[in-house]
Amino acid sequence: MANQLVEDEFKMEFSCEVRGSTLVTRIKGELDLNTADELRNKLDTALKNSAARNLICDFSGVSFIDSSGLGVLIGRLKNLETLGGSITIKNPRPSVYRILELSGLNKVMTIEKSQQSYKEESR
Amino acid sequence: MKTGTDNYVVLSFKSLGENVALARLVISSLVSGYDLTLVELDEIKVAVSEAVSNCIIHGYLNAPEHTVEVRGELCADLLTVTVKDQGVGISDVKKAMEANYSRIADRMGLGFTFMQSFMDKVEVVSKPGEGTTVILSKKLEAVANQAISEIELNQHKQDEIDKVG
Repeated sequence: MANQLVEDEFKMEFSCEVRGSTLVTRIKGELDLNTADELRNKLDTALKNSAARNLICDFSGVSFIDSSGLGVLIGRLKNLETLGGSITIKNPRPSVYRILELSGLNKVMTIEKSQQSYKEESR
Repeated sequence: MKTGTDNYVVLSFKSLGENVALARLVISSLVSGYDLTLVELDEIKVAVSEAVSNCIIHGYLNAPEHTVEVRGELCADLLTVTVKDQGVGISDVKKAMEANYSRIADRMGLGFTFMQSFMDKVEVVSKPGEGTTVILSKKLEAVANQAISEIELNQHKQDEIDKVG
């Protein structure tokens, strides 16, 4: 069980579906240097195959993000903006939202906070 | 306020991306004796993650055969994390620490900004060709208005249950 716990710390899970011109993704795990390449490749492949212009990322399962993870998002945003598209981050946890906010990504992407985040802020 | 005892850990590992999570896991375990909020704990983890990532990406240019050293020390409630590589070094430390400065595409140049935002003090010792040492320090103290949120705590517990299940 201990091995499983440690292994889970290092994993990133990704699933997606296409809704019209939007790629809707659900990401789970930690977004750092170790998982950034995998996330970048999966997003680029899914965006290319779907020809989507917009990207929605459900971040409710993202437990950690650092600048490596943010770099993946900003890189995809640059690509999508050339197509007139956008990125929306949904349901980030409070600690992840804080990183998104501090990096200024909340100014260039739409971030839809979960009820949990709103409750947290009102305390 | 609950506090931990003086302690230290020393970690030496290959310059592999998968070891970034290991480093922050070890440092977060070191401070587990403190009543930190999950947000505060995450901030320390981000700072460590950035420092170690810098060693791998910038110090060793992503070459995996090198060594990164991390020392975490708790002394009188002061956390000091020293992250060291023997890579290419930094010619202009002041410029490297500027926000949005990065020589690499798809990177935001926010590593040092996060370290400085989340820790009380960030020292960088570096010379070209002689590697880089980053010393992060933070006084650990619980603040009344930052008590652990039940919501975050429950989320954390649910995560642990999901992992086991």
